[in-house]
Amino acid sequence: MSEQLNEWRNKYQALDVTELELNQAMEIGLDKAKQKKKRVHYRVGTLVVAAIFFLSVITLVNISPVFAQQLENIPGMEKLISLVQFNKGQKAAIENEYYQILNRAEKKDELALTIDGVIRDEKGLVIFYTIESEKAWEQLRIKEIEILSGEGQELSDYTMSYYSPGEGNFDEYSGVVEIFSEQRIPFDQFKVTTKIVAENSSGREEVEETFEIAFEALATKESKYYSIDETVEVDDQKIHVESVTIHPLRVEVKLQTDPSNTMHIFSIDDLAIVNESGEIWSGISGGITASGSMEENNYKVYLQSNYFENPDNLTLAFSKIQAVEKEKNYLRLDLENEQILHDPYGVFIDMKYENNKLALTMPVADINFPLGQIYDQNGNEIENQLDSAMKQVGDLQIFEKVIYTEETIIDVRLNGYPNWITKEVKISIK
Amino acid sequence: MGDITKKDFRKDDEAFIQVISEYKIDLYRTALAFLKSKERAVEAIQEVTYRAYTKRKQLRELRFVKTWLIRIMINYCNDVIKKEKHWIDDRSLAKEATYDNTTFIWLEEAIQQLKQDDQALIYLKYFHDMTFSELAEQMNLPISTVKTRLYRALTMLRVDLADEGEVLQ
Repeated sequence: MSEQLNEWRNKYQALDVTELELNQAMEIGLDKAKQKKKRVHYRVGTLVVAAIFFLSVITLVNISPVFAQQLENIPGMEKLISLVQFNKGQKAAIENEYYQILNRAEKKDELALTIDGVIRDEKGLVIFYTIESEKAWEQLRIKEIEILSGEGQELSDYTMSYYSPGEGNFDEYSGVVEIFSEQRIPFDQFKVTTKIVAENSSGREEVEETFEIAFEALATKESKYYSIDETVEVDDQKIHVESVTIHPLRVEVKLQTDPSNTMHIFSIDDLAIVNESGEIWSGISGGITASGSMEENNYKVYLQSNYFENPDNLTLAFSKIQAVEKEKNYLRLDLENEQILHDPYGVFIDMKYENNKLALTMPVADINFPLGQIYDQNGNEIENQLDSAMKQVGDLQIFEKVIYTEETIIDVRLNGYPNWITKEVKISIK
Repeated sequence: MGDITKKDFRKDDEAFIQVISEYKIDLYRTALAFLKSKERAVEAIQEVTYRAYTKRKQLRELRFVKTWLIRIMINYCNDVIKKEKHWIDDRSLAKEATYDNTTFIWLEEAIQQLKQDDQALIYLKYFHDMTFSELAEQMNLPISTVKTRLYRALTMLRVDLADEGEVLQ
């Protein structure tokens, strides 16, 4: 164990940073701390101004006057600002009074859960919640959660996501749970059942309570559907854009690739919608970015929503397509001799296979996780293990995947690769 | 930083920066081990300077400053990582969906499962080469307690790694 730890330490001895970069970072940190100290002192006049000012100092987020005014009407608005700051669509929904205040609380022993409010559209529901505790804990979080209809019916084809707070010292924590369905959500009465846990020192001391809160949430805004039905050709590769649907919570772009393409397209990396004045609504950060597969008929890319804007013109734009020639779209690896026998354009510079763990190194590039399904030399699938990892060391990134196999030569199908077709494409939506 | 006193550290911004500067490389390496990219590690330096400044009155003695700073860094990195771990309910679509998240290596993952005091102990011992007597002094504990705690943390690491299957022997 000590040896492993020493090796681990040695990995980080090489420095890829300059003294200047570190000094600058320290100075910015100090400036921020001094600014915060100063401003909070003179700005305790009204709570709203203080809160917004405080946050704008820390995160440099611009808050429009409309937004500030809207927030005055919502209890607990400071929490809201920080929760929606990276999502233009949700921010606009609040500005446009599409946030439904609920304030449904339940208290059990020393823990309390409040559903502060929701934003709902035809296919999605975003729940803003607050957990409170009588005393402070290192962690205060949702352990399990289920969102059903009032009668207990489950949603079909859905994805649900939520963050856990970092360890700290909490007697209160506010967060967001997002649930999206592939179909229209067929009900307005919801029931949330959730296990909340408060714990110290990795579970050595803990309290757990189950809460059940029912509420009504209506989708009063209709989604805007734009049929596009246009095929664009980039470097002889055809991409068919079927439709763009603008929901209040997110934009759904349906795309597919043409079977006659000679390149395998992994993703369109900078897909966005742009209005007439050049404002951009880009992909989702820290959430579900896409679903389905481009080669099949079910691929959807999700973007931040501009539902509440009413632009005269709206354009779908992209310029970077991550793709590799179809016949080259695999890696062939000799596990025994740790050799790369095939790599589409030779970007991998090192390969290791030890203790059933494959590690492949390439220069840092912003790509999808490249290692996909594994096959033996007869084309049979080798069982896929979900254990995979990515790490960055200096200018290199290493992709790792657990593979249990007796085969010496394997083929790995690629799900991403640092090769792009670049060309600016613009498609008019309206 | 020989002449700087605790009072300077608290009252004089230049002295404060000089002290932090002494440990910036140690802090950077720690951040890199957790956050994996230069950009994020540099941001961590910014954030830790910020946190250290706002908390500087809590430092008991200037000779504990290195441990104190590294603990603030570990705390910050844990916050960042936990925020990024996006818990996904994969009952249906999840297998097909693409997520914006990052996965971590087993050993580091296992270290992150330890409670923060134990993470600090592992980093200080193995990453920053502190001896048991230095650790004891820094943490204000008897040497025997430090040893017991470190061995307990190592045992937990082994258990955690064994849970990952036969990947690491």
